[in-house]
Amino acid sequence: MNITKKAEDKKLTIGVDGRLDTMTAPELDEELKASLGGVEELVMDFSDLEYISSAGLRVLLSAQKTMNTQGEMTVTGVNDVIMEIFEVTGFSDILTIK
Amino acid sequence: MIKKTADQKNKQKRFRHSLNLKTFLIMIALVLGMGGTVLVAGFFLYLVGMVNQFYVTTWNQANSEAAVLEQQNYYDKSMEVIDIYNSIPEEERGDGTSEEYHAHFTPVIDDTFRTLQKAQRDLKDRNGPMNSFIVAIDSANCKMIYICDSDPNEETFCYPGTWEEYPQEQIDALIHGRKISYFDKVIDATQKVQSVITNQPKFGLRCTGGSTLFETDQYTVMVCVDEKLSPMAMASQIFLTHYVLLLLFVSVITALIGTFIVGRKIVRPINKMAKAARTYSENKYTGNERYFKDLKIHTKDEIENLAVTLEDMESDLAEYVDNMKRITAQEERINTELSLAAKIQESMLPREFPAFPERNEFDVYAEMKAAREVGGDFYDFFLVDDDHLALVVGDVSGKGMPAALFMTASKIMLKMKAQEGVSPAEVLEDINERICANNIEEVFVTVWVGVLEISTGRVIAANAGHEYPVIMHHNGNAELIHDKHGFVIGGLTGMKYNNYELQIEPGDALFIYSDGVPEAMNEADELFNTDRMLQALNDAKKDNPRRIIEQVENALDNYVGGAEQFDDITMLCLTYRGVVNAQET
Repeated sequence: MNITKKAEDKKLTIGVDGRLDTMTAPELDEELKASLGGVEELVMDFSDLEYISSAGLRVLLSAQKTMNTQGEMTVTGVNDVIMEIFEVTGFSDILTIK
Repeated sequence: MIKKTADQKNKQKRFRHSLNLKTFLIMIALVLGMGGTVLVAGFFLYLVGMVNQFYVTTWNQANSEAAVLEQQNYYDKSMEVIDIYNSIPEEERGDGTSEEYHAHFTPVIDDTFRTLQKAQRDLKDRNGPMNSFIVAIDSANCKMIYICDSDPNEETFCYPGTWEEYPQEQIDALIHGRKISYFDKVIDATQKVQSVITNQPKFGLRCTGGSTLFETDQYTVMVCVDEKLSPMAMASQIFLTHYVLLLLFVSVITALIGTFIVGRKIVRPINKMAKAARTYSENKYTGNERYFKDLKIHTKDEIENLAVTLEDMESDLAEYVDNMKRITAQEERINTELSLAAKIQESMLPREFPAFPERNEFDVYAEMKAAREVGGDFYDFFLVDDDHLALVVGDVSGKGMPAALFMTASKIMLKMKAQEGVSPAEVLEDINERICANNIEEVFVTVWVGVLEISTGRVIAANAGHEYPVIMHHNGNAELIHDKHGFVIGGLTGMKYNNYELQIEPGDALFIYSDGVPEAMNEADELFNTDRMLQALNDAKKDNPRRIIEQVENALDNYVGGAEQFDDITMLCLTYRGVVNAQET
């Protein structure tokens, strides 16, 4: 997994590629915890994400909860496999997916 | 522990004392080499010095003799001998020693002759073991003709007229003098001594110094003094013998002392360390080893350094072994606790099959295979009332102990709520609120809850973020039901869940599973997927839930091969016979 970060003013775009699973999710979790301060618009770019496990969903939920209090979060570039996972787990109901 | 082979042991024995031997041989070679060099150089200088000494001494002595003979009538006597010699034809002279030849010269020996002899002897007696004689030298023919020999020894006495032949360079050296070798720079280089060393069978090795008395056309008449070199040669021989013996003795003693010191300061400490190392590796580690610490090697050099390093290594290893033991003990304790926890968890999931032996309308079988000792997946089934069977499959995010604890709580709460007879959606909403209230770790759980109305085959279900259920139709294929999904439990409060309805016919089966099944991966990191799962279900006979699950398990095992199981795997299967069919049997 690789994480890319792009910050402009109060907008933060985070790109994640590869697999977001038990092994890699903590890294993203730490990255998010460290950089969400003051961010009002968070964009999670999943264009190159291949797979997300429950541990990854947990990180996503945690970020969503944080952003609920300080702005908004959108998820972009979701492929079919990830979308299926979002739908199965009901995450498609609580995330703003574009 | 590494066992030494017999071969290695033999080698060890063979080389154990080789350092001592090497030192001994090196020492001997060194002392012999040094002693030999000193001997060669010293002996050479000694020899040169001695020879020069002889040259100078005999020459000086000859000069003294010449001075003494100034008073004597040597000229007439010399000419007398020369005349007789010349009068004898070459072929009659022979080798100059025959009595017939000597007879020609008998008249020479008279008082004058004896006076000459005596004069020579007088001086000689005061100057040690030398012999003085007067000769006429025919340098053109390299011949020396005796005129008056003062030798009192009859065997070596040379009769007047006796002649001897010498190499040209020796004759020249005697008549014209020679430079003294090696001392050119010390002694005046222009100074020449009239001396020569000859080796005649009759006289042996001797040094002859000469002083010219007078010259004729053909002859140079000289008074000569010679001294035998044999005493010096003998002394040299004795010296050499003693020196070599002493050298050998000293070299052996030095080598012995050297070997002793090397043995004490190097070999013994090394052997001690080697022995300690052997003992160390042969014994079991207790963490209290003092094999190296007790050696007490204080040589104040690299050997001591090595010993100190080994000591440090020993204590480091001891510490390491201590740590290892502690960690191992801790690990054992944790493992024991984990396996106890696993047993407790197992006992929480219904494991007695057939689960409802008194009910013919349906059969249910389920199993959970944890990726670690304990798992986060769970399943449950229980009768809410006589006509309603509740089925639950859940999956807590994460794995291991934290997930297991969470799973335990979830399962208990689900059962308690479901047993109240409320709809699955209500059960999920209630559980979601409870879990969210205390969910500091932000763990969530996906749950599928279904309640089967046994009499009709109607299933009311609700899905909180769980995998799609599968209906295995008695007259067709297994079908993935894309049911209406709600959000996972424990994520957000206030979530609403929807009930939906499924109808199963007698002969159908319901298959609920956790994501561990479709997301199992083979060695190439490829997912098993729902397609392969459905295929496995299609291949299975639908009459026995246990057999159905075993079939899927087999397919899964074949697919995964040697790859590690990443996630917990849970499968629950319900086969439905319906009331009519049940009564028939």
